Amino acid sequence: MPETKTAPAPQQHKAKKKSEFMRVMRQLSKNKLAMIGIAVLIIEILLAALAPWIAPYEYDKMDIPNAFATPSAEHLFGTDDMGRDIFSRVLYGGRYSISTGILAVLISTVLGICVGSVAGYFGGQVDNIIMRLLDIIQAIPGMLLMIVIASVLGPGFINTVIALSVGSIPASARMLRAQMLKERENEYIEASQSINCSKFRIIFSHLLPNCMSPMIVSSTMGVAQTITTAAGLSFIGLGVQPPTPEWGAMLSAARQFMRQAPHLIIFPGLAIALTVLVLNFVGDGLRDALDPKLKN
Amino acid sequence: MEPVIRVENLKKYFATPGGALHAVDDVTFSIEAGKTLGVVGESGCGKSTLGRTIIHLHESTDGKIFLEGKDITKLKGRELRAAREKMQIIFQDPYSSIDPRKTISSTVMEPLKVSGRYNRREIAEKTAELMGLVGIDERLRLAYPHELDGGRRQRVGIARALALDPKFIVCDEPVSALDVSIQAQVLNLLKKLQQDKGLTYMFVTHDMSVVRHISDDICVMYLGQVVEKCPSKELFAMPLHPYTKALLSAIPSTDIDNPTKREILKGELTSPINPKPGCRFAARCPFATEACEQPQVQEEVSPGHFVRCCRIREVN
Amino acid sequence: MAEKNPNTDRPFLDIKDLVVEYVSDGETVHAVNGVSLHLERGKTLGLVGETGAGKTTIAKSILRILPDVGAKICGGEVHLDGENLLELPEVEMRKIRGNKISMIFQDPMTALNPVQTVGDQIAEVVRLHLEHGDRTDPVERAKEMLEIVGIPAERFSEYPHQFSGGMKQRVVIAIALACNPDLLLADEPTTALDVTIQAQVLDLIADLRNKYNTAMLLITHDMGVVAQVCDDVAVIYAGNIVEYGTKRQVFKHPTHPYTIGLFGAIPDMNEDEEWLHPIDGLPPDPTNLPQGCAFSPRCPYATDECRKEAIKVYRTADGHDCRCCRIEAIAKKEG
Repeated sequence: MPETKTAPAPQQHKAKKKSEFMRVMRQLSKNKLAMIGIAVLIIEILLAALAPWIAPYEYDKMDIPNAFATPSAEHLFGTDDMGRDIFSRVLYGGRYSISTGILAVLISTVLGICVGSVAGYFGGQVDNIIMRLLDIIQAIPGMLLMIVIASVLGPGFINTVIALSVGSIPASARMLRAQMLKERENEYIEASQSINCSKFRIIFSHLLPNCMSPMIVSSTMGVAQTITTAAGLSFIGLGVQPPTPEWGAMLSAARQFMRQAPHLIIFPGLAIALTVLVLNFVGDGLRDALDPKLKN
Repeated sequence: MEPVIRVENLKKYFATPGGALHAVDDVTFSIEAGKTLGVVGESGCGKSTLGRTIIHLHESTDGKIFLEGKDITKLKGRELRAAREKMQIIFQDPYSSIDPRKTISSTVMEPLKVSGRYNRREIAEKTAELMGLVGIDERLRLAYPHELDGGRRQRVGIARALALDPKFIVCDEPVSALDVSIQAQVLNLLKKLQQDKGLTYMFVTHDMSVVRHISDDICVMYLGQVVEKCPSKELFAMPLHPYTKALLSAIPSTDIDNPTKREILKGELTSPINPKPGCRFAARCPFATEACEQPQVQEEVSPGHFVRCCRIREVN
Repeated sequence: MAEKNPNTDRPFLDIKDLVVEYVSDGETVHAVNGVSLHLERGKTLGLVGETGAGKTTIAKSILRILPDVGAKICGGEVHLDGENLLELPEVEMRKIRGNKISMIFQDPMTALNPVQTVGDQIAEVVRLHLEHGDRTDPVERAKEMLEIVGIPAERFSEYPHQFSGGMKQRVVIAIALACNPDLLLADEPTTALDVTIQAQVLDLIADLRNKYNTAMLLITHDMGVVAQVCDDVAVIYAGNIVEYGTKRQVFKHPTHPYTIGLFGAIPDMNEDEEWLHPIDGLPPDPTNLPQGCAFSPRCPYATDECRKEAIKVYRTADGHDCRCCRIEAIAKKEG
């Protein structure tokens, strides 16, 4: 047998056994935007968690004579229509908004993955039944569905999260299914069958890792969507109960004062935008780090 | 001696909206230990489906499959898994047949892991041995498939197929995606492995020069049926079926002094969906008569030379 | 490698020292490194080489359809009928593409627009290249073209998915020939087809070439196809022509070790051999070509001399060029 010479020497793998997790982390740490994203996200979460100690005012302390104050040293972000300190409210609002956003998306993505991978891998009747059930959920207008769930379960943090996640399961399940149908055609799936891999192993060890990229991107986008939708629920009194602050709710409450006092809308808006932006950075970075092809 | 693989009247139909697609229709053959059966034919003739049906990647519609004398057609569960370990497959496309997100060594060791028969140390040892066997540099252990060229990827696929010490390997166009110089490397490797390990191959390809080089016997398939089967040398020296003749004459020869006299076939493959009962090649056959519209039987013209054509005496 | 002869006119297609590079991720891929070739009307030149050798890049450079980002023609001249195509403004070039030069792509499945009827796709090309005052009816011309490539004109308004692979490739050929091009660039036109269909298509291409006196550059990796269709052969390795001559010269007296190796690696149809003779090793990394002869790391005859500097072209017979400094030593060994 002629020995194969290594002409274009692929990179040396000097590193001994490094786990997949370590490789992803190393890749991620090379991505500047993702690192900035993670840092900002951690700061945001810390600020929200430590709000009671950091916030200069109580979030619900009204000061009517001082309503609509513009940003100043006293009130960093100004005050709202009832004279409440917007900075404090944004800090407190973060606790609620960030956690509902991330949690609801996490739940719907995980459930979507389970449902979608079963439908996508098995196909046929199983796929048909699952997809028709999802159709039923999708046939109900999203907001209506959430109102129904939230009003049945009653207001409260966990219930809002549930209401928010159920509505977006079909979308993520569909996306994963489509991805899976495409990926399933590859011969490596047949190869794993021929070496006796179980269905479970084929789905979780081979198919899912190859289907995750679009899921990660859409999930990070989904967080933004969810934060604003949560605001909608609060608006009709089903989400978080006033006077507890929440970014989306602050936005919608401030709408009517947009012209006279734009800072009412700017600061919670910025908070949402910043969170979404850094989540996208993290999502993109994670997607690239998970893809061995993009290794430099 | 008992042949390693024997199939009897094997059929594989796929349900399509237009009716049953006869991908494999009434195929019978056997392969002795250590031999190679070449299966040739054009795209859509069912040669890949045949290989996949034998190793149970598709469920057969009808007929029987024997592995070392044992009927494995209807096996399920643990028995099927045990049978599968003895039959493996090497795929055509070195790009899609390896999971792009797994390192080379984890692809090679997966069959060992899944079998549950080895402990960690044994797996590591066997993996290194397999990689050495197919000529992949130890340093590439932690590389990912995209870092490798087609030839090396194909070696990874071969190592994976060899991991469980199979008896029988379906080689599904293993070299058609490779460049000529690399193709020769891989063909030599396959031949050497066969000699060293006594492997039995079913070699599916559309490349006549490759099949001639590697096979002991050759089946020519046309629209799901075997139209001619005989020892390799005999097929090239004395093709009998009109389709085989046309196929051989269509190969562009590199011998510029003796350009092959080409019989250009008219038309293209007819549909394999609900085919007519007669000879499937009749529509393109220059010798076809009314008799060809009857179902054709396979006839042993000389020892070991089978042809499915009612007019071979007139044709030759 | 064409030697310029001042006594005769320039050949119909004359490529001189073409250099093309791609830049990606800060690395420079040396795709084509000083290729020269020439082609007369009515002749066919076969461009043979392995994946990544730069065959398709040459064809795309002639048409100037290299991707805008990353690819750059760094030097050389491409003369067609006395005009340097690389210096023409884009507007002029657009008139030439599809009209004077057309290209057949490898994969007929993706070369056609799936939502347009095949007839419309042919007619569109004709319409785009109509001269002012030309009264040709594009639809009639399209029907005529279909008949020429052996498809009944009744199938004018069918969609690509209703055709088989071979038929699609015929449609692609019909599109390429609709404007009677002077130069046809065929990039692996039959690789995706079955042998019996390949035979049909090769016959068709040869017929049409003879009929219209078209010059053809045939890109392929299949020596059998070259033997059947071409007049001249250029063997390309790592972006360089390593051997160039008439079909007879190259097939009967291959001189470059790569060409010799290539012939040795093909299983012989007439002889039985236990083992094939592959070329050792792998094609070089085009971002990091070896110094001197690019083939030297895989070459059984290589000496230190080969690894020093760029290898000159040696002429062994009239019109038979070989880029190798050890021709004589090899000729002795090979007998």
